[in-house]
Amino acid sequence: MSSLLRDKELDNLKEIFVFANTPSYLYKNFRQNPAVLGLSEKYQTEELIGFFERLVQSEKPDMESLLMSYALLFAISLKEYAESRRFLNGVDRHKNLEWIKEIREIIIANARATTIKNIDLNHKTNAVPSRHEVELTIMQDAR
Amino acid sequence: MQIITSSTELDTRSIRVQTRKANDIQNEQSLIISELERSQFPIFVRRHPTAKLRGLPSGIYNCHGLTFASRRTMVYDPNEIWKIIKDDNYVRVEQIQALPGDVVLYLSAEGDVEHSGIVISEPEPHFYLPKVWSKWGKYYEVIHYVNDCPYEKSNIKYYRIMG
Repeated sequence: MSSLLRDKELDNLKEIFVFANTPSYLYKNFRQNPAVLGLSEKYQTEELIGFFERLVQSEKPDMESLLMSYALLFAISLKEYAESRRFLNGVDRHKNLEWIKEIREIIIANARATTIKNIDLNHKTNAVPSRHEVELTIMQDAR
Repeated sequence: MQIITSSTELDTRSIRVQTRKANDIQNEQSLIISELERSQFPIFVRRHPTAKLRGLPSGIYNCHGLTFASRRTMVYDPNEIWKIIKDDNYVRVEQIQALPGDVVLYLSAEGDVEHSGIVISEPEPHFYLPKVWSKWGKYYEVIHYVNDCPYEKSNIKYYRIMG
């Protein structure tokens, strides 16, 4: 499974993983990593979830498997929240992943914030009156 | 120091750490650095040639554990760091006024306290950069200039305990 990424890409993820002092550092730096962005672009959400679920079965994962698990998790977090919500809700059962509970909370909090922002943007777009509304207003003003 | 929880899944445990005002600080010790993790460390030595390393790599404590918990455990929730700053009577000082013993926090735009360390030298003339003693995650303790580390450097703040 680690063949999804090249050795050099894994080295960069290793550095993030080993130097992380906080779950937020992992979240920010994995999601900005080109290899993780590439996984998110290349595969569908369901495929990424399938890869992840197969990888985390191992009770004593090696370093590469561990890094791939985080890479897949953060690649999934870059997808539409609606597609990954069910997976994310239960992901903290994988207790062999360090900080999984905190990471899950960060992913969900940020996904929800993004969803709310999207709704706000739509709301602003809708707030711009349509041509029909403008014409109606002009007609009403003319009366 | 009393061990209060244990978890078989990750081989971690917590100990009791409190602020001056007796508020508990959430923490965790990661008891094992695998041989595989350790085997990666020479790569980092080559990638960060100016970092002066001390001791041995450890998952027991991280930067915040070094700065605020006597190297006994990992503190990883930024809210816990702010609790310590408040309860222990730290006050902000400017970089130019930094003295050995002050602590330095590396803040991210998202509100995380990504990193912390202890100032070990006054800011040097010209660039006014102090040297810092810190720990990089599960890696070594490191002596480095304040701006020479793999953490967000655009928002660095200094604090000093005042009585």
